[in-house]
Parts: sequence; C-alpha cells; structure tokens
Amino acid sequence: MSEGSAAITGVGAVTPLGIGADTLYERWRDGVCGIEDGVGRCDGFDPAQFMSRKQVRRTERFVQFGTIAAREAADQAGWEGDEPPYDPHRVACVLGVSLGGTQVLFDQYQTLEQDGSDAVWPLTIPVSMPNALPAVLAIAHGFRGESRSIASACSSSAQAIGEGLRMLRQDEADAVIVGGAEACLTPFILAAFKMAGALSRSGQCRPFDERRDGFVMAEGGGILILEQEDKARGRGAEILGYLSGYGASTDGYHLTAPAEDGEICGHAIRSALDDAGRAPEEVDYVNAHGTSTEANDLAETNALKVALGGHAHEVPISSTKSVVGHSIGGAGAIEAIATLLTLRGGVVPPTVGLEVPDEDLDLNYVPGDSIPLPERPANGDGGRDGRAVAISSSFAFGGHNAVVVIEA
Amino acid sequence: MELKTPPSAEKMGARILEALVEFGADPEMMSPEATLEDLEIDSLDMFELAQILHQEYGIEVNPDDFEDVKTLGDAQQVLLGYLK
Repeated sequence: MSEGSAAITGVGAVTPLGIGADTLYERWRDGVCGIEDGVGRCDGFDPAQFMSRKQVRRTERFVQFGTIAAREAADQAGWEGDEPPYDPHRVACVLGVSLGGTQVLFDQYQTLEQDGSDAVWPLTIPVSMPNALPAVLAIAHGFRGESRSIASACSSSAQAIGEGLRMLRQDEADAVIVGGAEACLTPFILAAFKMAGALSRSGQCRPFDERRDGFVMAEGGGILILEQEDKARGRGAEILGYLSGYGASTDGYHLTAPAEDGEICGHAIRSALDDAGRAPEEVDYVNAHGTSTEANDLAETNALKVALGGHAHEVPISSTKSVVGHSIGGAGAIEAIATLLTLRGGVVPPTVGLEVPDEDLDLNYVPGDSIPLPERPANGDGGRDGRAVAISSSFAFGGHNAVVVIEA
Repeated sequence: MELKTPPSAEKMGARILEALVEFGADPEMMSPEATLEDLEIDSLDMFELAQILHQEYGIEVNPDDFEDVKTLGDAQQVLLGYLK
C-alpha cells in the first residue's frame, strides 16, 4: 500500500460521556454534555472493572483509558483474544499524549521533598513515562512492530493517526494501533493552564459562541485500529471507514496562540484533502478543533475559509469538545472516532452550548439539535464510491496543526 | 544513618508476603513452591520490596542475589539470609 486509504476496523473510547465509542457518539448526537463543574472528567470510569489489581496499580489514569479503549477497538476489529491477526512484527503502535502521568510524578516529587530520595517509588518512571501506553499495549496485545508516543500537545493523537497512515502506505506494517489518551486534571496542571490564560473563566465550553471564554480541560482516550485495506478485506474484517488523508503544518508564530488569519492552519486542511485526493467541495462534514477559546475559534473559522473557499459556508461544522471538553493529547483521537461515527450514523451532532452567534464567526456550526448529514450521490459525481467525506482538525499549543480526512 | 533493629525472621517473612499481595500477587497462590512467574512477580516488584526492607529494617538488598531465584521460597531464603 504505497498510497490510498487505510481501513479503520475498530474504534474504542473512554470519555466524559462514558465508556465506549458508540456511547460517545450517541450521547453527543442526543445533546448530552459530559462537562461538570468546569471540567470534563470520566467520572464513571473504574479501572478495577477491567484490569487486574496489579495492572491498575502499575498504570496511570491515561494508560488505563487507552488500555480499555484499545481492548474495545481490538474486539471490534475481530482480533481474536485481542491479538493481531498478522505477524506481530508487522503490527505497530503510535499514540499521542501531551503530558503523561502527571499525578504520580508530582506525588513522588512531594515524597522526595518530604522523605528523601530513598523513599521515591521505584515505579515512578515506568508508570508516568509518556510512552507507557504503547508499552502496556504491546504487553496486552502482543504486537512487536515499532511503537512510540508523539507529544505535540493538542495535536498529539491526530499526528499519531497520521503517522499510522504513513506507516501503512510505506508498507512498514499490516496494521497500526493509533490514537491517544490524557488524564491531567490535577490541581497543578489545571493551575498551569489557567495561569496561561487558556481555561474558561466561566467553566462553560461554548465553541463559536460570542460568550466563549476559554477551553474546558478534560480527560479521556481514543484508539483506532488501522489496517492495510487489502489485508483487512483478505481476512474478512468489517471495514468501518477509511482514513484517506493527512496534512500538517506549523504556525511558527506564537507559543500558544494561533495566527488569526488561519493561513497556516488552512494549509494543513488543504494538504490533508490533497493527500486524500478530495476537492474542498467534497467535504460533507467538519469536526472542528472548536476549543471555545476566543483565538482558536476565530482562527479556525478563517482557516476553513482559506481551505474550503465558498464551501466553508455550506458544510456543517461541529465541535465534540462542546460535550467532552478538551482532553489535550487524547482529543484528536476521540474526535477522529466521533467523526467516523458521524459519517456512519448519518447524523451530525450539534455544537452544544452555542446559543449566541458571534458576528465574526459566520459558518454553519450546527447549533441546537443534530441535523442529517448532507446526502451524497450513490456514486460517481462528487463521491468516490459514494463515500461521505469529513475532516477532523487539531490545532495545538506550539502551533502544531494536524488534520485527518475520514470517509465512510 | 539511623540504625534500625532487625526484625525476627517470622516478622520479616510476614512483611514480605504482605508486600507482595499489596503489589498485586494473588494471596491464594502464595506458597513456597509457587514460582515468581506464576505469581506475576517481576523485577519491579523486587525493587519495591527492596525499598520496603531498606526503609523499614535498614536492610540493603543486592539485586544480584536474586539471579537464580525461581520460587517464592527461594526468594524468602535469600531475603531472610540478610538477617544473618
């Protein structure tokens, strides 16, 4: 597979809306919001229901999210015993995370301060290291190909997905486990984001609303199983959809703020569409980065105009963060899954909380209720194989922009 | 360095079992014949155990002493040997 699409054969998610990818999509579609008291916490998540006492003790919360999401994805992909149906050396894993195991790290720093170096937990590093999730998944699922983590803040897991596509196209693997997870709702990290001026003062996530005042921190994880399409077909797997394109760019403008004109972000969107062989007019749905910050939502609106031209005013755009908040390194994967399920479900979930339009933001952000996905021709005109086409964008602190194109 | 009173063999043996259960080993499977592999006890557990024995009893555990250890009984023999 030197070019073309990767088959998506399994997805899994743990989010503030609950456990499971379908739970994420269905509850969002129904307008349920998982944000409470100014954060998106996965309150119902109890790792002891899914993992042994030893596994729970040896994993930070972000690894637990990713582990459970990966199990769901592997089950859906029909990986018997959760092990890949390929030569283990031909199965890779690339996962996004921004900060890693912050709770253990800071707890143990306090132990160091209070009780000295000999009291520091010997498992501090293996449990908190940002690459802990791919390491744990390799033990759980038995793959032996390349594995690593990508840290690019809010774009981490979108970049991981893009890297998975590249690996399949370069025939470095038959299947790649991609996605990401984050769990950094600790007082220290929340304070650090707050003092950087990023967090919502009201505790409300209202993407594209005139009253928006910052993002709502969240936790969660999402995993996708990507396979070479012919190999997936060859083993009789159900193909849920396709990852057909990836594009990325870097603002080179500011450490945290996006460039308002959206030119560089827009370039990533166009690159992704070019990579997928899609014209802007073919995009049926945009899953926005949509953070609810003043700067992002304006820059993203401009980026969509740069990339899609007049079609930016036609295509429905909605923000998953409006119901789950911003899980940083997990966000891109959770949103890619939500995008896939939107295409499969045929219903575009709304941007919840968007009630007061901003006159500078003049696109169709799907306020209020869900709407039907625009109909596509069964085949031929404007639709390769009659598939619906969507983009999911991630724009990060650091100016890292990553966009994936998903079809179903 | 603070000098600590060495525990009795019985007390230290009980503390070792307690620690391994705390690390996640199945208490039902604990027996001298049980292999560390069956109990899912690995080198990270031994580092934790070494830390506990050092913190609580001032015992310095040498990881090299565990190279040939296969069973829980073997491990206990090595660890109790530090009391001599």
